[in-house]
Amino acid sequence: MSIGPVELADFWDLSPSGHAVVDDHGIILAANRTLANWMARPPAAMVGSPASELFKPAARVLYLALLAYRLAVGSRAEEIHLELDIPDASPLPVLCSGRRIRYQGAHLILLTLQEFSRKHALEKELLEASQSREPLLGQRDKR
Amino acid sequence: MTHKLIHQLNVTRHGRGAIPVLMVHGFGCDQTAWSRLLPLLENDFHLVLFDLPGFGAADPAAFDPRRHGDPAGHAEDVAALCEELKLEGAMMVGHSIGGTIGMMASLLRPGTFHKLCLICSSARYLDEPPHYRGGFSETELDGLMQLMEQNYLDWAGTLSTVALGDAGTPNHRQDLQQRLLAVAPEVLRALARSIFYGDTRHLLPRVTTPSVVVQTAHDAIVPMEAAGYLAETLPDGDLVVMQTAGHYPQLTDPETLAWVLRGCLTVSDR
Repeated sequence: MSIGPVELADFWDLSPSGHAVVDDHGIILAANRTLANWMARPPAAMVGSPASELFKPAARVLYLALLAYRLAVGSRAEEIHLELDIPDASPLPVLCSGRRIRYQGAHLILLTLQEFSRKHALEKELLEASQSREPLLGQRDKR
Repeated sequence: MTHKLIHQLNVTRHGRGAIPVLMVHGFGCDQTAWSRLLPLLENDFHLVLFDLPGFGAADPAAFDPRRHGDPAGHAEDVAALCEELKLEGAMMVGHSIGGTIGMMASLLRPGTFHKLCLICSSARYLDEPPHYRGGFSETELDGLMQLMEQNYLDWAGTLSTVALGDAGTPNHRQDLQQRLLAVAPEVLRALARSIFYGDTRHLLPRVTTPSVVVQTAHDAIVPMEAAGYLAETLPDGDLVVMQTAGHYPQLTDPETLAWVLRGCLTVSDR
């Protein structure tokens, strides 16, 4: 079975992950339907806005200072834990990976965002448990 | 006179110009954050780069958890480094918290800098409605601290990759990553908390060095109001807005930033 270019283009929209193509200044050039659906906007309405605005304010810092920085200096970034800013709903935890590629003389960023809700909840519980233990461990160490 | 900090903070010098420019990187980076800017400035300036303690290829022995969990401790080191370098009337270019650290160093060692260029810096990230907009509510900053915890290993991974560049051998890379991972999360957490919950607005009226706040038109970390406040409150401050987006113009738009900096760091006003 061979898959044609039209079907492949459809698969971009049917992907279980969110995808976006971003220019070197951080502006969205294209987004797939999965990401657009998460953001409750048509894909075309995503074009032209800063990719950092996909995320909650806290996650914007991580997006810029960790993911975008790593892409700029190393051309790849893996599994950065971020939260999408979903209108009128709870934030959606995602793992975000990216590649910086050269295309027609310019640089493009390819972003993939994978929903991470269940593992995020578990990770958060583990982190909170670990943080609640730290003061007790500190007291023990002082004795 | 020893040159302890020059070695410990991995000082490197670039360029053929006569004017010394100390370049201070921000949180989570190291001096390689300036790599795209260097070729654009080295004809005109003598660029002095280094890694803040705890970051990049700085000697782990330079890191003091009691002092370096706070930008003020880093500013002490920058002032001491300038003393070792015998810098007088130099320029300071600092990115984000690096700009704040450079500004604080200018107070500790008057005369070191002739001009300060603060790129995407902020004196306060926390909103204080209705009079001050830093960009973040307390809840949002709490969320940021949590996300930083969840991405902690990635910070370390980024730092080691950046510090080593392409030249590092696998053994060297692993060694450095282990050393970076040895920096306990509570140390980075302390500095992150100090940066994002901190407030340096009270220092601004004391800054006598002429300053230029360079801000991108759209920065998701520093809102224009915060950049405007910084420029207005610095006694001799100007605001230059770059028509570009992002928090790292030295990486995303180095040509425009170099053009802006060349205008800020002119020889004529020395």
